[in-house]
Amino acid sequence: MSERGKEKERDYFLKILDIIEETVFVIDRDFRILDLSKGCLNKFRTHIEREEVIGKRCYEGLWGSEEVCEGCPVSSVFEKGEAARTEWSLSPSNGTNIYFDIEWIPVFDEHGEVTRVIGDIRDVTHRKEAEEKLAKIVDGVNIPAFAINSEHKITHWNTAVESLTELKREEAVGTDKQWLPFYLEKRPVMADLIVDKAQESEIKARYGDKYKKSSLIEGAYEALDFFPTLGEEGKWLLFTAAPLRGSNGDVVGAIETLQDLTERKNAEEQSRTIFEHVRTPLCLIEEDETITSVNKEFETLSGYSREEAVGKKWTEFVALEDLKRVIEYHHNWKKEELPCFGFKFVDREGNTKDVRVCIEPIPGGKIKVASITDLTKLKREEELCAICEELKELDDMKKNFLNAAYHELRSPLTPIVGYASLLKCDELGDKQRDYVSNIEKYAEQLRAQINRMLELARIDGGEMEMTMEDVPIPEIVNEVVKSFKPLWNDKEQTITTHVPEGIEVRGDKQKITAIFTNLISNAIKYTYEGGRINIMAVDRGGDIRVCVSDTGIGIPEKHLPKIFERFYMVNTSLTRKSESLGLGLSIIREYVKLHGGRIWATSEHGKGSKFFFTLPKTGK
Amino acid sequence: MRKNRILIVEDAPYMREMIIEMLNHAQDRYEVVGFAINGKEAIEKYRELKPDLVTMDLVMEEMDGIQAIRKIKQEDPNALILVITAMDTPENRTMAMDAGADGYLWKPFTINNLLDVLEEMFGKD
Repeated sequence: MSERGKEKERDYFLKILDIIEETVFVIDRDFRILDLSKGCLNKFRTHIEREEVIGKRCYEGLWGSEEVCEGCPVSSVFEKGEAARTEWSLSPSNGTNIYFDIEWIPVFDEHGEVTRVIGDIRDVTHRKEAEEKLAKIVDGVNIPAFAINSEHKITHWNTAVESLTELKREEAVGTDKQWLPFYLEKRPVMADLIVDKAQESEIKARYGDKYKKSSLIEGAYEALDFFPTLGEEGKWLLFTAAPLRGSNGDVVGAIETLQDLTERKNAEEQSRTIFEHVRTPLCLIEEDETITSVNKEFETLSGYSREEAVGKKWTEFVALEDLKRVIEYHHNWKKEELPCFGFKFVDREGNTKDVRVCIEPIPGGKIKVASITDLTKLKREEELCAICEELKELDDMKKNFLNAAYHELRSPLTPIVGYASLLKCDELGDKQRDYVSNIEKYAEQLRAQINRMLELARIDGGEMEMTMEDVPIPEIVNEVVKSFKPLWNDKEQTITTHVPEGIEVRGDKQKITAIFTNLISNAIKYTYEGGRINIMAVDRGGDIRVCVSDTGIGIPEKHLPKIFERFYMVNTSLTRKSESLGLGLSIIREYVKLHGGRIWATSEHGKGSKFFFTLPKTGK
Repeated sequence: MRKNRILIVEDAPYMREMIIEMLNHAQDRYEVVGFAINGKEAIEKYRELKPDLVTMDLVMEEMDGIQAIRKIKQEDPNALILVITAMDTPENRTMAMDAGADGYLWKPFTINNLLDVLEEMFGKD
């Protein structure tokens, strides 16, 4: 290019520098200013001409300093050919600080050498002031708060957020750890989403229905969520994030405040639990009488599900005949203190119930809570209670009566038995002797029966005493079998026993003997002539299990569950012949139970029965 | 041979009669010297008659048998007392024995039951 061409070029260049608003300057390796834009001239020093400055070192020419600025990167930019950035402040005489940020851009020649460096100055005083103001706000409030910049780095982390999160300011500022106290994995917090100008759909995806748009701050969102990692048992936080905007309106960061609502939430949760589980029907009603919430008891009382009940006016549950009165009451209440009143409550089925309702305002809101007492239910419960008491009395009376009756029944037996024995002392014919024997035999049966009734009465009265000892089972089985020998011999029955030697249980010997006596005598009684009876005992470790089986008439299946009940008698031709009133089995069931064992039976009608019982070895 | 003198303490007349009838069958050994219808009367009769043996019912008005046994035994530790009762529970038996009864007979009983128990009681002496 010719000299003239160069000149022209330079004019053109200077024109541009005059017109543009940017404050730029060009320096060489010695910091000497080669060119500068007009905006540069009055930026730092007033009334200065371009010619005065060109050729001077930048620190002299631009801000009248005699030394290279601290941290100046210019030499390094020349060396390495990489751009650099610095941020400096100046305190001119008028007292207001000027903050500026310079970007140092290298200019290369055809050999790739850096020949000049352009300094691009940007006044950041406004931003700086805003940041300082923000710092004052964030650090000054006692609400936990932090701020991040456009690069998601934490710029502010106040004392309150320090104590809420236990993350120290030194560890937080300058990093992107804003997620750390709240989440287990790295993820954007609300402030990050604001900085990214996230779409609402993205916020919704993150927070579901826990978020809402702030009604106070443009572009801000708030959300309520539970953070299990905070504190000892987690915390409920209401957090609000708002954008920070630069002078041109761009989002340059975000501030987020956090409010610890744990206590309030817990109290709410408690109230909700009480509301739900209290045994009183409750509903919340709005000023216009609409029901907004009901509890489980209300559902039971009304027959309506929660969803059905909510939205109805509570007066819809008042029977027509009471409606006028109830509305009057309600009207009066609006003026003065109020009370509880009764009315007929109509449930879903149209049934009416007498109830009493108390409507009380919930402090701090327009909602009232109505608690209902179901008088009908109350009355029914009272009646049931009374009936229960009566039944108890009746049962006591029955027990006393039976006890007395058994004793009275037994008294005349004494002279019957006594005089019959006296009669036999006299000279009697064979016939008369037979008659007396019959009297004695049936008197004995009567005595045994009455004794069984008395035994049951004593068991019912809880008067049964157990005399515990080590009871040898084989000996008892042998004794009982032997005692019935005349009977089974007569019927030509075979009795076999399989009882291991040495089995013992801790129990009441008399009662255990009675159990065997009853089962074995029944087996003999209900088995045909020539039948077989087997008694088997098995040692099962903790207890023994005994089985008395026979080849007798058996018990129809429908009777099996009831044979241990009192006075239950299986109606067969054989049983009609028998003398038992069916008390024997109920007594031995009680005996087995007193020992902590159980008793049951299986049977095949016509083929025989098996009676099983268990006795714990250690006794009860 | 001297007959053993017996005092019957029993509130039911038919029981008194029956016991007398039974003892009549052993007239050579036993003689009924009197009867009482409650515990209080039993003590008075015992002091008055000094019988060899007392048959004692347990359930009576005024004073029950147990109290009467205790009192009689306290005054005369050598007294022989046979309890005749329908209340045949182990507790009653223990209570009677603790009070000092020497024999026990359950109702109902036959003449043989009565004579056997008496023979046994006098045999012990």
